[in-house]
Amino acid sequence: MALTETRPDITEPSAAAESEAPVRTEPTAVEKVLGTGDHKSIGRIFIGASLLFLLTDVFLAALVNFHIAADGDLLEATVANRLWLNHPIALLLCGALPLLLGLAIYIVPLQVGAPTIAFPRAAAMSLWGWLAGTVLFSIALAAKGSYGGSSDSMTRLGHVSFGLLMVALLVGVVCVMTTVLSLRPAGMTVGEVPFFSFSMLVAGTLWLLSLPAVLSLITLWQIRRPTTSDLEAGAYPALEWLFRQPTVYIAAIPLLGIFADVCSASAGRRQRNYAAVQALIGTFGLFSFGAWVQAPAARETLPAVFFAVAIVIAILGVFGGSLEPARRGGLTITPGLVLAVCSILLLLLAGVAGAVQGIATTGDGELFDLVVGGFGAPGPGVAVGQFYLVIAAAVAGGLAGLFHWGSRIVGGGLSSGAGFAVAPLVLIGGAAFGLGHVILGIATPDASGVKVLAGVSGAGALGVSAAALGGLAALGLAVFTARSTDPAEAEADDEDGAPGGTLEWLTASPPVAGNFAGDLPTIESPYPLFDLNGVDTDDQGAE
Amino acid sequence: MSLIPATLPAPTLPRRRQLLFGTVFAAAGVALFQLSLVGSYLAERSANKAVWLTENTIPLTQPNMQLASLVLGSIFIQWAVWAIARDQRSQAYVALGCTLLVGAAFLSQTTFLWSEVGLRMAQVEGPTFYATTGTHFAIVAAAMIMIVLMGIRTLGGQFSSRLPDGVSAAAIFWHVSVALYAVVWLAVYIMK
Repeated sequence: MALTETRPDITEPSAAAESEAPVRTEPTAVEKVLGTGDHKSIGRIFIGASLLFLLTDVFLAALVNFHIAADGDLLEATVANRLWLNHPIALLLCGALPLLLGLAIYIVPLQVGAPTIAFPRAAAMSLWGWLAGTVLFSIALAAKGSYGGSSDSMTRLGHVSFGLLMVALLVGVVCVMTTVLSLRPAGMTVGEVPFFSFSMLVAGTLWLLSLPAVLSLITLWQIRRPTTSDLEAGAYPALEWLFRQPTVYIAAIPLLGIFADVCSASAGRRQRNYAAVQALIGTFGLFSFGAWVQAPAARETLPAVFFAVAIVIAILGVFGGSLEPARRGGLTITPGLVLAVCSILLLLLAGVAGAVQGIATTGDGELFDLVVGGFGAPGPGVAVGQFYLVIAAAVAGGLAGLFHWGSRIVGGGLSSGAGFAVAPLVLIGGAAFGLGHVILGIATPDASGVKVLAGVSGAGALGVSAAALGGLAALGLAVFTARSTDPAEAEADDEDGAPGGTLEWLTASPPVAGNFAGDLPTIESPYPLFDLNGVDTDDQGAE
Repeated sequence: MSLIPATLPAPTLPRRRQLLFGTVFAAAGVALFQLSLVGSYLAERSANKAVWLTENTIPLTQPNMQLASLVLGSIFIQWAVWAIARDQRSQAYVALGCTLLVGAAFLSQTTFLWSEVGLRMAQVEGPTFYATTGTHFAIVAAAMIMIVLMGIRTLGGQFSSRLPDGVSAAAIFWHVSVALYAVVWLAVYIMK
């Protein structure tokens, strides 16, 4: 088509036209929060809210353990039963998983050099869906409902909100996985994705393979219009495999990525065995697949025992492999590193408890006596202790990530003192929280011994709860005193405390809108910032 | 006439198959959910062999026709993918419309089958039967909604040969729903 007329010049709009134009008012703070699609806001709310729920949920776990220690005199029997059945759901789905997911929603886009998360509105839906599910679950629990409750409608509400929590978390993890796979910058292969992002890819796959199976059982029971006894005696035992090995480890997969990233960043060196550590994280994920051991009989088969033992080897492998940069010297002790080590140690304890539990089932259970226990009818035992240890490890890992990436999450970062203070709380508290039940299951003590060990577990839970409170307080304080995003200050901050070689350390503290102000460096290795700054270049050829 | 400034940034490259990856993950979750329900159905049937479907009969005509409809839908939606990759928009709209038509036929046949079988929720087979087939009904409905949305976005010019991801994503979800129906068809209707 030929252009025959000269286009008219574009004239400036007149003042009258400008005054008639609709004025777009700036959204209020509440509107900004409710309508946000920014992964940083979503991640911050996820982290803060999950820490809040964690500290209350672990406190409930302490209460129910003190009830056992007090020989059933602390709480009403019905209340204690309700808390015993529901606190693992709250710990896993209202606390541990959302804490790690929130961290991933915040950090993963930064690590892969993306300006945003994939499907930001779906990520926001995940947040609000999870919050709604948590609130509904809490209401149901408080109003004599959920599993073990006495009110039919409130019990069903608890049952449905359990499903809602899972759907919300699945939506969030799909956003994170898609970000890792589709928003990487040119040149960054999956083999060069930072460890935490890679571990979230593995974790997301396992969540997708496990949680829908639980969700299907919830749906099936819900359409039966169940009574309270149906749900307690029928549905709950069918769902309990979620809290047992190997499925319980799906909450721990991201910890391995956090640990590996923190080790490399704290040493200021590259990981030489990058592919091996990634493979070990993948192996750990493989051995945490547990949808095939839903039936109690399946837990006593040889493959189940093999999974229980092999996962310990995978943990040890990641532990040893991730420490490789640290062994070459230059390690800076940071709160993130200390907490990450705590999380791996707690996970290792959980793995050993699981291996003992698995080995005990060989030879028709005649090898040695052991009380496996569980949150259904069996009661305290090794399986309960193992679950508590995994939760404590997840709390420690979440806090490790929070303190390690604190300067990316809040301007200026979180207080190091607070990080060092919560580390012993979460390590000693977490170990006591889980080992109380593990020893109880292995040693099979008399009634007084059971009381003492349940008391130890309860006291440990208080320690973990205090650690979650410490993390929340440090985050709150940092947000309250956060400085504005001044490029000069951010640059200075990066010089002081941005040791990592991955892309999140290229952002300001906190990141600006769109995350990256300038062009990204060329990605030629898993550590583009080390490449850019010529750090640890002698080792590059070894990768 | 104003010139285009030399400093104008290059157009943003399309994201690396974001919608496709998201759809694959969502479809995987949905598939696991449906397969778990089929597993529950089989377990329930195995536990109640003596009374399973003694009062009701499941005719085979509708399930077979439903499978044929969905497979036909797969061909249609693949036609849409082929057409959009070649910027044959009118063909793409016809193909998407045909897919929606067979989808609607499938939903209609499912409700007809339910009325034919006449299972009640109070019966032992009821909850698992309706959970399994009802979930698949919902999956096909979701696939149709996705096709409508992607069709509208194609109409708006968002998808073309340069970026056919939306239509391809809808096709993936549709194919997964067909594969899942094949499992339901075999487990529920054939191996009665």
